[in-house]
Amino acid sequence: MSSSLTAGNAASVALSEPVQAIRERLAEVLPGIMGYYYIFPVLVLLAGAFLALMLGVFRGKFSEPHLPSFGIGIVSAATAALVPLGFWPTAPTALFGSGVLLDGISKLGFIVIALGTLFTIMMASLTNTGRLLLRSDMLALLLFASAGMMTMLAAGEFLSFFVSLEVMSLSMYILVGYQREDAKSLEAAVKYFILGASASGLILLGFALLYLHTGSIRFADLGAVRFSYSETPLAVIGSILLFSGLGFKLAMAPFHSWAPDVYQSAHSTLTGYMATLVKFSVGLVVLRLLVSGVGHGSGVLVTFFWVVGALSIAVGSLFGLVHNSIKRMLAYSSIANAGYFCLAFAALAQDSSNTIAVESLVAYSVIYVVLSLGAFAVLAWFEEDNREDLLKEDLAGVGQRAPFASICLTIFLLGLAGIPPLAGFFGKFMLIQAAVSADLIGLAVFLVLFSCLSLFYYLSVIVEIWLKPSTRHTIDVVQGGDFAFLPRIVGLITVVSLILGIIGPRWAQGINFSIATEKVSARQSSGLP
Amino acid sequence: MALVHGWILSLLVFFPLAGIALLYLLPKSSDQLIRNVALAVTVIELLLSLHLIAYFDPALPHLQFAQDLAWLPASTGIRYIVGVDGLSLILVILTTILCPLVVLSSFSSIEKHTREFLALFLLLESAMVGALVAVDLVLFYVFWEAMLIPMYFIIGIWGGKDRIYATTKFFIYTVVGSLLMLVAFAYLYYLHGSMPGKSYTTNLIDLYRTAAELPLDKQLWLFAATALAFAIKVPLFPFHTWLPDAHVQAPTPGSVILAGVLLKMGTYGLMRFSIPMFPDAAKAAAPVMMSLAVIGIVYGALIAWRQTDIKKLVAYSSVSHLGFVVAGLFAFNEQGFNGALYQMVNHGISTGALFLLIGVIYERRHTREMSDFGGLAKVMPWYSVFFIIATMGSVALPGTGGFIGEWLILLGVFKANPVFGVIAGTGVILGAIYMLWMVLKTVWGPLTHEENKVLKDVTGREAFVLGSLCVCIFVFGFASKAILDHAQSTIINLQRSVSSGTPYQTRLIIKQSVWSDDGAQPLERQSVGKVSP
Repeated sequence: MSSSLTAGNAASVALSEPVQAIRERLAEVLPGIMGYYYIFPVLVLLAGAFLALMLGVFRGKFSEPHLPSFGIGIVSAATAALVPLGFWPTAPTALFGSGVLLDGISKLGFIVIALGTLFTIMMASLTNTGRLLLRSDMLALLLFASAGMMTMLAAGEFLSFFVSLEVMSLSMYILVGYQREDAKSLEAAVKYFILGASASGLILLGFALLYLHTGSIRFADLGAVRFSYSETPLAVIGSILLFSGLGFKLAMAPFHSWAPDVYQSAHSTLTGYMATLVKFSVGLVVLRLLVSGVGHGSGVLVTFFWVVGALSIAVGSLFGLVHNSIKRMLAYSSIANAGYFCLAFAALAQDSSNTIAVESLVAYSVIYVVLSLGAFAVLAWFEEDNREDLLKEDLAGVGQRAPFASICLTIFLLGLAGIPPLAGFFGKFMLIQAAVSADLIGLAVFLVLFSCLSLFYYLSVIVEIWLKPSTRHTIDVVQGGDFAFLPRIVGLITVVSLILGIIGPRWAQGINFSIATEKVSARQSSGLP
Repeated sequence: MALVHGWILSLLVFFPLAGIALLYLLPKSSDQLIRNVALAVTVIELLLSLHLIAYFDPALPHLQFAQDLAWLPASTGIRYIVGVDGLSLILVILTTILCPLVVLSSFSSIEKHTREFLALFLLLESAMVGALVAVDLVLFYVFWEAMLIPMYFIIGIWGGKDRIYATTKFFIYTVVGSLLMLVAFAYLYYLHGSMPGKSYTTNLIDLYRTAAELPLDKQLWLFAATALAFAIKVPLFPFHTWLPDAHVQAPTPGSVILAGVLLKMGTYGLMRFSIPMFPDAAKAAAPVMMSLAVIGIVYGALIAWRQTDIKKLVAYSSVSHLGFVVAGLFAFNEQGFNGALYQMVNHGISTGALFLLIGVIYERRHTREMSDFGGLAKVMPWYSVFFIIATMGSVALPGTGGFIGEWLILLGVFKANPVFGVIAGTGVILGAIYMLWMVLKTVWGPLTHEENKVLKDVTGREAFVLGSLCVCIFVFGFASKAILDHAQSTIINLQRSVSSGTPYQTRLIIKQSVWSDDGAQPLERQSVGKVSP
């Protein structure tokens, strides 16, 4: 921003001056060669997406799976997961102004999203319905969405965040309605699009109101605004609008109504991707906004997250009880989980330097990704050769027919319920601890009481699987043959979730994060805007 | 030897898990081989636990055979700490004695999915021992909840016809309580970490002081949260409704382990966590807890009296008997604590034996209605002998362990509050009435039913299981001093801390191995905790 203003003032003096100013500014914000290594995960996903699109053109039938694109997807996602392990700045740094922040959270986020994408593509390749996702255009959209999530969670200022959010959202709208003649699925896609677009509008409007007070799009400058109803009402409204829009993307109640329909209509593999990675990355964005200190000085955001969190937990736990469709039930479970996130959000809104809250959110969101991806993967496996959108009754006695898949699903569901020693327990423990540390004991007790209710619906699935005899409706689970690879992948994620449960969330301990680390240039320090 | 001292508890916790791996290496079809291997695992576990008795120092009230290892990252302060004192020692031994007997009894009562049952059972044993020896709150919580999962499936898969209702009720009841306990633990954890000069820890030894020094109103809330979790598990009077359902629906081995060990986890938790952590609150809440316990004694006994199903009768008698235990605990004197601890063990053995006996006739007749029996003494003489001994143990006949336990409890309760003492005393009389009523209806009397005339007496295997438990009933009746001596110093320590309102003090005794030539001199290392007076 500052560079354009400077350039405007200087234009009247000499023609070469603006060019010079732009050059200087570019030299400031453009990263060195190492910077491109650091954001290689994003670049490789984008390159993979473009390549898949181009190769797809040379294919006769668009409606069939495209093997080269599949290969590109696998390779680029795997590379994206590996690169941050090797190339990462030791101290948090910022690229492109504060457009991309490279810190512990971004590193973890890049790895989780790349692995999640890899897992989704692999799972999709193993089921017949999932293979439809392997068309070159769909794969390209999936890779675009992943790249969008990565830049979104790494964003340190509004523009890069919003552009990434739209890259992700637009890809998701198309993916939800992908090649389905089903009217219900189209309805879900349209619903998702209209509500999603209005949520984006809310986010824009909200940030515009905040911008009135800060004059900056950097998240780091949000902390400077003092929030009060009487002095800065627009900032208060703006922050509420901003977080309501983000709450929509996270499927928090009362912005949740799209989630059950959309989750139910999309194919399980894609639902898994949507329910986990989108939530994960948007959750980290909310985290970045809150650690910058937005809304400090007034309790408005604490109240906001308290109410939204309690409502989401209540809605997610209560409505999940009445649904017979497993995917709908898991959708409500994900609403409840978004409510659990609010414990950390409310704690951060109380005190933006609360590291326990940051750690608990980072810990829980990763655990949630693993458990939920796993649960949807098993569902996709169960749906193979059966009807989609399984009911609980369809799983009666399936434990005897497919013990391995059933054990995996049981572990994921008990993990989501937070029963130790499975993953999920430490996540909930840390969230409760975060809430307690911010003196939000009421919200913590709220989580506890309602998670007992949600336990009831997780158990009802387990009851069907193991304790009921099989009936003629019981599904047949495909095993062996082409699917020999499937158990290994599901087994892998089960083992990961067990290990996470036993060793605890080590990745979250002392994770480094920055709110913005843009260099202060000579021009700015000399007093110019 | 020092190496063994340091690792024996971890070995006890994880050996059954290794046993599960072994079970899954065996061929699937050989049910009997799988049963024998599982039996061998539990017997070896029992033999390993004898090491604790052999080398336990009864004079010390501290946590012995302790082990303190890093588990989660150091900044969280959550560590893997295990240790036993007199209290947990006795319950660990009770667990390891009951487990082989239960596995033996499952030979005939569990016919389908034998391997899965035994694997879950070994998992349960591991979790039970783990919960008893854990000294770290999070470690304890992990084992505490881990006990639930196998029990849930044991009742749900091998149970009676209403098993799903019963097991879901059992699960939800227990989880509601334990999650509130988790909030209380999280609060304490945060409080300890935010105090100046302290760091985050879940080490129980350090938290005893933090918790005991809180003001009374905070203590009361925290006490309520933890005591609720344990009261549900015990179960104390208004929270007992899951128990009859779970007991009646559970398969025989499940009922035995539920009555024998799992219910004791509730009273153990009160004794290990609620009372010593929040002594002031415990004292303030004692009238409430004591009233609930006494109501439970009388109420459980009256309801048991009216039952026609033998298993339900024994289940309600458990409510009554555990009311005694809780009443003893909240008398806060030495007799009360001693009696409560002793009664926990006795109840485990005599009620365990009763459930096994019910299992024996249920396997033969597939009914548990009292009216379907009568005159069993004529066709099943040995069975009747065991039945009567177990009943006598349960009604606290002098010479059985139950007598010592109830006697000590009543002494303690009288000392604390004579009114409660008198009401609790009626529970003993009511107990004799309904138990003897049950014996009368099943064992004595004319042999009216044709089907009962051909019943076979107990087999050698059943006789061995029942015989060992009956021997235990008498051993506990006469050897009370030898057994209670092991817990004496722990109980005195607990009693002193509660009555004076000072924080409970204990420490870990870690015997490190010394790799020098001049004899293995055990080193005592003091943990980060407090020094005992």
